[in-house]
Amino acid sequence: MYVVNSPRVGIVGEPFNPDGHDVAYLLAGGFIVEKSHTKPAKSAKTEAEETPEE
Amino acid sequence: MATSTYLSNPDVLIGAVNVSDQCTSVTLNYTVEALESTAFGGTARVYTAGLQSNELTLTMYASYAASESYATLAPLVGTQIATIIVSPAAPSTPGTYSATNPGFTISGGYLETLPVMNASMGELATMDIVIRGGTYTVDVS
Repeated sequence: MYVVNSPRVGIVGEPFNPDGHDVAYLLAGGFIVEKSHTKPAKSAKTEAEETPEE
Repeated sequence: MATSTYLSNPDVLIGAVNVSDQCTSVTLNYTVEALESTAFGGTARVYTAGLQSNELTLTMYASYAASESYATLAPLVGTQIATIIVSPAAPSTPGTYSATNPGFTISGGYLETLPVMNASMGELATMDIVIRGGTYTVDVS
């Protein structure tokens, strides 16, 4: 997923539709940036959460 | 007297990059070469259409900051630029043109030269960019 990084290509922070555009050029010039789809990893459950105190 | 006049304030897009705020002049000449086809028996020279030979000239302020004129143009020297669109005014919706605000498009125009320094004492530096060739179309939708 690409996101606008310069007001010259759109509203900064909005998704950028790469169709028909030279993405390598836009990335190299810093006009857009690539954002990962992956969600942040969940923190591991602690033992205390799994076995409530009695 | 002109019934419709136009205050020049065009919109200039190099690919997806809007450089209007750096441009002070734009000239796009749509040219179809004239090939002479005059033959014996004719009484006047006659021409027929050859290839398109278009040329777009931009005057831009020189700026070496991120995402400004130098950063936009330097990677394009020696390449065919996918699309350059100039329109009489900025479209109200980006990418949407109309019969009264057509998007004049050059596809595959070649940028041969980038004047990386063109400075005079006491003046803002400018770059005159010439894009040659490419296919001319008009976007009215």
